[in-house]
Amino acid sequence: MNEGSRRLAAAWSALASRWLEVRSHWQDAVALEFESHCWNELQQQTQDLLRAAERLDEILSQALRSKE
Amino acid sequence: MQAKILSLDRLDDLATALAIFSTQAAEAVAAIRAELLRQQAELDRQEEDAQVEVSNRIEAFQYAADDDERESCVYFLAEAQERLSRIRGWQARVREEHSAFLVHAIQFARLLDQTLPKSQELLNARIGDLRTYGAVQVEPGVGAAATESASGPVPQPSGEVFSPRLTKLTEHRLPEGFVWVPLAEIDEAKLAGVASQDDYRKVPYTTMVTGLRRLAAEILPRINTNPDALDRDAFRHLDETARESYEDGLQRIYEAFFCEDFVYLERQRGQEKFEITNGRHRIRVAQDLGWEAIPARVKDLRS
Repeated sequence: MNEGSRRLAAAWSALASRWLEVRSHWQDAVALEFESHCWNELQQQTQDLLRAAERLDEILSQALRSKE
Repeated sequence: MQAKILSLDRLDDLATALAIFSTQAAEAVAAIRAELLRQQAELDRQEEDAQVEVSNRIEAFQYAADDDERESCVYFLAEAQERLSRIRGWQARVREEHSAFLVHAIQFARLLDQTLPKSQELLNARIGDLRTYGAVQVEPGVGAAATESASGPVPQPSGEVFSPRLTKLTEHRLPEGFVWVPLAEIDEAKLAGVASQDDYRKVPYTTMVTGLRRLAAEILPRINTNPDALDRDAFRHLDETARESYEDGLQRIYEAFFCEDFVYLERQRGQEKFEITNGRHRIRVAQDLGWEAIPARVKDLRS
């Protein structure tokens, strides 16, 4: 995993733990709207991006290692 | 469903965390792309080297003096060609994965630019609304006008808070001489220098985020009742009552917006947008928080 991916993963981890703390304290219609329209999409897209970056980084590393 | 919010501070923390994530994620994605491009450039350089090696081996074969030398050249040429082929195979796989990565990166950038600000606005409006009702209950004298306009229930003694509607930030009245300026009407040219949290040297980014949030939640609702009756001394008194230092208190935030260091914008004749004379960091944070407008003094020569 490259430095940028590590930074994104760390930023996500910090936000996700904040959300976990908040979720049990916040139960109303706005919370549901926030979760369905923002949080779920944010979670999915962050994970998709991290996976894609990791795959590309892995292939590039293999390619650069196998020059001989 | 029963509405239940047991800790408003946690919502506040989430809003701040979202603003910070937005900035950090954009920086991280830029770093990912830079690193991947660097690695791809290295792979391209290897491909060029391998291509040169093949050309050299072909040339050597053409000038070989005898069969033994030609045989040796053929061996090394085959080896160079195999290496070139292997690198090109990797390049094809990298291109394929890079395309997939770009699709996700573009979607993610759109999420940060569009969806996240809307969500922050939703969350901030909710917090502002709840704080307003909280202020109404705790300090009925200060929030008299808000009490009259509040049509729904107020916070309950149990700590549960019920809120019937969202309060629009720009509905708050401002001290004399100040106006709400839509962020869309501000020229962003001078915001380029405040793209990352490292650009906040005088006041840290997180402190500024907290300041704007307290402006919306604690200062503006109080000013709203009588924009010209409250001044820095009134907020100093509130800080003293709450045992808050100047650095962490409301007076400092009030002064930043409505005293000597106010946000100042100018629009020249014939111009569509205001130029920033003072307050670019606050304007950037207001954008991050999903605000539609910011309190400022203006010199508007357009009209």
